[in-house]
Amino acid sequence: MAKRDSMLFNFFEKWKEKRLNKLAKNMLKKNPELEKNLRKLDASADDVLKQLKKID
Amino acid sequence: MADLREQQRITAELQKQKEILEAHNKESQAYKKATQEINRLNVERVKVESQIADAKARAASEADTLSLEKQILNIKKSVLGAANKELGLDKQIKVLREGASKADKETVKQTRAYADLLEGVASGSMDLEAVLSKIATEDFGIMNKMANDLADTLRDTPNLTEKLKIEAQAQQKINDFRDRISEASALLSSPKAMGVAALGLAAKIATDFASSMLDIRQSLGTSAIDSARLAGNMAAAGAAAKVVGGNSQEAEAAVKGLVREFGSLSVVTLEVSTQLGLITGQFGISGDNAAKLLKSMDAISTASIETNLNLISTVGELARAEGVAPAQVLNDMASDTELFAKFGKDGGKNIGLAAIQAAKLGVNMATVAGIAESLLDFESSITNEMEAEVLLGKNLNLDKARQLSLAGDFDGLQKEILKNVGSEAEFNAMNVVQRQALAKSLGMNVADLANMVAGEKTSAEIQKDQAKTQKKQMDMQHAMMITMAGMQGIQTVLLALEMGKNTALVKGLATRVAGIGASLAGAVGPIFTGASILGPLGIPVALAAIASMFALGKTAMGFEDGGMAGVDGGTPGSSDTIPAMLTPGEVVLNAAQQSNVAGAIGGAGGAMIDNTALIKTTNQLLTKVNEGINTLIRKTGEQALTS
Repeated sequence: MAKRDSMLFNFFEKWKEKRLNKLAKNMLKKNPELEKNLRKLDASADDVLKQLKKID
Repeated sequence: MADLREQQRITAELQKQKEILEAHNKESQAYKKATQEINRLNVERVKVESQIADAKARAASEADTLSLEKQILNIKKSVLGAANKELGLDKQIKVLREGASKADKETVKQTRAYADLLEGVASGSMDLEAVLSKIATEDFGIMNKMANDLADTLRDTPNLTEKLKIEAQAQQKINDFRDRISEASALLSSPKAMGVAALGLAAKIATDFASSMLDIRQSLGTSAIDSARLAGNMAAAGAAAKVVGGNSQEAEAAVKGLVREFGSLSVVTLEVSTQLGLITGQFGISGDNAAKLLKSMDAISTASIETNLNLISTVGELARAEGVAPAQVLNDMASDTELFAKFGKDGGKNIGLAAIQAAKLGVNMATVAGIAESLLDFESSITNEMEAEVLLGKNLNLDKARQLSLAGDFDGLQKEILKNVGSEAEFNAMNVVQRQALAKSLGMNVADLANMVAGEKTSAEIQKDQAKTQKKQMDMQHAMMITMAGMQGIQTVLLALEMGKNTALVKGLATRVAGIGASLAGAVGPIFTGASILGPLGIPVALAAIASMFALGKTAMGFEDGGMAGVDGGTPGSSDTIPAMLTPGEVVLNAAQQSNVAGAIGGAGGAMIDNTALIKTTNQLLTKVNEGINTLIRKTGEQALTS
């Protein structure tokens, strides 16, 4: 296994990240509903976060 | 006295009791101490147990935290995570961290349940059905709405799970690839590992070499030193054959065969072995045949082995160029040493060329040698020739063939034979007796004769193909010429437009020219595109269509070259009228009115013309012409590739 600070590891991490970002952008572009749903999910998470702050 | 004894006994008894009491007291003290120690140890044990419990709890908590962080990392490194990042959304991750940090066990449990759900969705391992099932069976508490929103996301985006899964797998494959590369680079950079590998390789090479050396010594009876040298040369030949994608065993057999054929070790040098290995690898000749062939060639010339090897390479390349298998030709050459001895010339080059020709005709060198020998048996050959002439009812002339046989020109001999045999149609028209007589006169059997005729047919087909290709090239040149002529035609039209501009009397006329030109230019492109499906012939068709359009445009619109309007082209009369198509705002002036306008502007009496529209039209036409040329170039390229 490549060491986490090695050049090889960083190269592959960058590659994967680029792939992911490209795919994510593409999916968001092709599926407008996805963005809507993700924003809805984030709003719900925000509500939960507020409730969690009240606990303890 | 008795009392005194009694008193002494009592005193002794009391003393004993005292000692017992003292001992008892000591025991009691020890017991007390032991009890105290036990109590202390119990307290200590409780304390340690408590510490252990705390440590366990901490470890469990840390494990939980690590596990959650790992889940968060997995979610972030998914497409879903990337999409959230792209949109700047991070609340879900915050919820997971906040929820897991709470003391309330129920909240922590719900957070973990939601983290599992989100991780499953992000990795593509949980689809909508699985998510709904989880929502139905597990309590997500305050995170229930988030779970439902997640289900909605999957529902509203078709194939999301599939895409997430595919990408997760792709990411895993990249990781595997990275790890493999990293392992390899670790091996390469590790002197210890490389040392072990190198040692293993060296041991294998040494074992193979020793084994090969022993084999040579066993089969050739050479000394240990010569065997080692030969084994080295064989290894070099094998390596050379492998370099060109050949069989190393055949190359090694060739070196061994060379020693056997020549009966001397001196012929085998490193250079010869390497070249031999390359030839066996490149042309597929067997090791034994390569050695035999070299011996045959050596017997008829004074050339060195290196020269003969070069000649073999030349024959192999020629065979390839003629479209026959080099291995077949070279093995055929090697198969008949007698032929070499009898007819070989120029180091065997004539045999090589003959073998190529024989392979092309579908026969082998043994057949060709049979023909030559039969023809050189003059008496029988002439008798057979005359018999065949009588049976076939046509003259045969085998004198030239005999001459070529005598000269050892087998390539020419085969061509001469074919001349006498005639075409396949002629051969097919012969009856069995005629075929047998012809075959006998040529010193071959009917089957070989039929093969030769069929082989000749293939050659004829090749010639036909060549002729077809030449015709295609001529067609292309013709099309190019027509295109060039067409381009000149278009240039003429442009020139005419330019002249029209110069001689137009009014601005409106120039505008009409521009309008007609623009519409024609717009139509030229599709014509080239449409005509391109006709191949080279489409170009002249397209050009003809364009020319017709220009002609039609000119006549249909009543377009004139300029000057004063006249019905019959002669001097305009006062009663001459022609139709005109004008756009709103245009004004038609007669000669006198124009003169007045010109005078008012202060010019030298010439009309003022707006050239802009005409230049635009000219540019449009040129653009379309360029497109046409590009289409033609593309088609020419495709045509060249197909031919």
